[in-house]
Amino acid sequence: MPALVRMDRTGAGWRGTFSAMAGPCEVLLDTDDSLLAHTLAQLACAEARRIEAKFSRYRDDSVLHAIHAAAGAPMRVDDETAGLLDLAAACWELSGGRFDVTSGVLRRAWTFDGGTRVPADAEVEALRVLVGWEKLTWRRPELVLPAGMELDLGGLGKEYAVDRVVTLLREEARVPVLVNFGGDLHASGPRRDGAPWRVGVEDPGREDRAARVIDLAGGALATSGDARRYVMSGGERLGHILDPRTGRPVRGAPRSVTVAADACVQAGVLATTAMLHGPGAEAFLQAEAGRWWVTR
Amino acid sequence: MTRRLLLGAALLAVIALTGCASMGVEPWERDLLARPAMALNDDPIALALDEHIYFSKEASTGGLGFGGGGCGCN
Amino acid sequence: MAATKGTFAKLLAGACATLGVAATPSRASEVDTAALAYVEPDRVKALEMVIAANHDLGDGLLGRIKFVYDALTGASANGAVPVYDAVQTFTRPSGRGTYRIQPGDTPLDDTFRDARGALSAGLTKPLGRLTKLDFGVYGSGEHDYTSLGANAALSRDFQKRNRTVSLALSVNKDTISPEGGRPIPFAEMLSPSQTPQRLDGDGSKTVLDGILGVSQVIDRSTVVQVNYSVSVADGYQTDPYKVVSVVDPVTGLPTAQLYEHRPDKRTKHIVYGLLKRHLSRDVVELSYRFMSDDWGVTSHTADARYRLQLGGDPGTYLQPHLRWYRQEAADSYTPWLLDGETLPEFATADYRLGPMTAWTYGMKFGRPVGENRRVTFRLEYYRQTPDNPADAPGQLAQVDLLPPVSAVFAQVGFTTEF
Repeated sequence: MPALVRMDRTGAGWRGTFSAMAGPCEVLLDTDDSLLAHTLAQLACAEARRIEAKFSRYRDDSVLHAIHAAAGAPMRVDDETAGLLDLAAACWELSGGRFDVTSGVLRRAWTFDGGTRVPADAEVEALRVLVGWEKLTWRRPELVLPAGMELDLGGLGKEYAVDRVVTLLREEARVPVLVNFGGDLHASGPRRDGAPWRVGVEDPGREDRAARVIDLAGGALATSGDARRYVMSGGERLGHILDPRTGRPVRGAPRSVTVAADACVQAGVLATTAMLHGPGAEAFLQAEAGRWWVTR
Repeated sequence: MTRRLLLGAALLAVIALTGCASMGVEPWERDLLARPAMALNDDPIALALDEHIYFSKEASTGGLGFGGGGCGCN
Repeated sequence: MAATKGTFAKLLAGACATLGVAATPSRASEVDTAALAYVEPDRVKALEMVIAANHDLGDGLLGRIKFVYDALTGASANGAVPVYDAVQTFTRPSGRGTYRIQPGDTPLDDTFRDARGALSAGLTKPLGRLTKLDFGVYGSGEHDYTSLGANAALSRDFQKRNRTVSLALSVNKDTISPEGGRPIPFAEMLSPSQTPQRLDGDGSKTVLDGILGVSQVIDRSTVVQVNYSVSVADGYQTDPYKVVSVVDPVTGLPTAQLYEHRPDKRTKHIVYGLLKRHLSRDVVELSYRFMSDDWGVTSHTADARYRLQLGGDPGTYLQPHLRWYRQEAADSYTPWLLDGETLPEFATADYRLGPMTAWTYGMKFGRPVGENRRVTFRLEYYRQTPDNPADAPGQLAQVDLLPPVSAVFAQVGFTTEF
């Protein structure tokens, strides 16, 4: 399928935009070479689409579909999938069970559309039986996922794609790039003139304008937040980050957490784990992250 | 007389700056200002070396900031 | 920026590394090295080497350290007047040996072969989002001079960071232990066979500086800075190696060489302004400094630089530089004393405190080297023209009393980011 990338000339280089990963994606390229910019943007789009297709929950030709279809039978996975599973395992262990890629099934009970529908306890408990990394067996390269359980790599997939695209573009040309998939982004280095990229981060309360402008000379930024997906319950705004240990949204979680790190996957895991700490988000970030911003 | 001239010039400069409270740019307009070439002191080492040279050949020093202390340069 | 601090982050970074994706480590350190060669034909030659490092210690804390090494050789004017048709002999500062000056030449003392080492270190600490505190210490030593100092500065941003106001204070203590001891003011320079009387002990002075600075963003391409500073020095500020010639009012021939004497209190006021403007590709920089002190010295310094971008890359540039300096004499400055007149309280013939104009013409070239390095080359020509006095008596009207002094200096600098 041809990759449809729209190219625009910007003040300092080129921008390629396309949609993937259920959202707008852009690649900023600090070069005046239009042919090179087009080539790099196409590469970025192709890689994003490839990862999306491979790890999508919805496509029946994706690896995840094959894993779910195995219904409890052992499955051998390829190196790339194995790498992501290793990372998922590490995140689950390090976060004390908060970060759990098997918690996807809980979305069947919760619809975060801004409404007030809150699932009954029984409904949540029924699904919790199917949640828990400890319930599967992962011994590289073989995965045994019990029937009924699901893997949701949404929490890692987008950040992984951002990092992968930066890797590819770096190998292809020495052009400073900033890859931004819906707010999860990674800059390969400072711009040609030595200045940092200036990145605006959305304020969850005011989606029309950037609240913070962050200088990024290199490295990644990921944001975890409830800007658009939430449910109102008893006057309280419950974010869409579900705590796998309780099956319910994390209480006292910040509205938004943005973290800067050396890679997007790292930034994303730190941001999500911080949210999962609820009221303890700032303390967690203070101990673990270099630059971070929290909005409550 | 020069003392008064000096104080007057300094006062004028401070007033001129404080009076213009509407000057400036939004954070997202700082692209050019963020360039290394626009830093107020873009080569501190060269500045310090030059100050040292002029200190040993002229009677004025300083006013720019602190780079270090004295020397017995003749 | 330190990207990993705690255990979670470290282990996570390890897991991400195994995944094999791009990690862009933030550049937390910078190391600068530079070497400068300074040459005054027939006078002073110096070599200076610098190594400096900045490091991000995390949490916004920045550390810096710098080491400078100078080696100096050559001759410097000792303040005495030239004699048109006779050889002059002066005693070296140590009292051991003499040096001879040819007819018509400016007397230069070539004793100066010195090496100096200086070390400075500092720390910048943020206090909240808009305020920064900075501390620094400094120490330097050469064979007859040591200097120790400390400084602190507080700065705060206003108006969406368009304005920064800072206040800095520093204190320095300098001690001089001159070769041969400190001469008594206006004592005569004696021949090596005689034992001169000297002042007791070392000379020391304390200098207190304060600077109030405001920097302001004017528009997207323009920034200005204005500083006002005061410097108060208290202590021994006489140059123990310099003399003032007493000359015959008719013939202009020197009858005695007396050691100079400067006041031991000096207060300077300085106003400084800087403007930087980004044009379509180039950057222009203009600055002006006015100084006035209670020794009677006033000076103007005007400086202009134009950074010309070469090609498409802003990191590669050529920067011509022009500096103009004009100084009026200190009250105690006098190129000679007339025999028979009463001695003033203070007198110095050091041409550096006299009236003069100086121009510097320079060129700098810079370019990036690889992904994280920059190199710079700089060449400057300095020409200082002292004002020659109009009323020189006798033979002094025929000699080149205060010839212009030229110097060339060249610098190579290298910066690496980690």
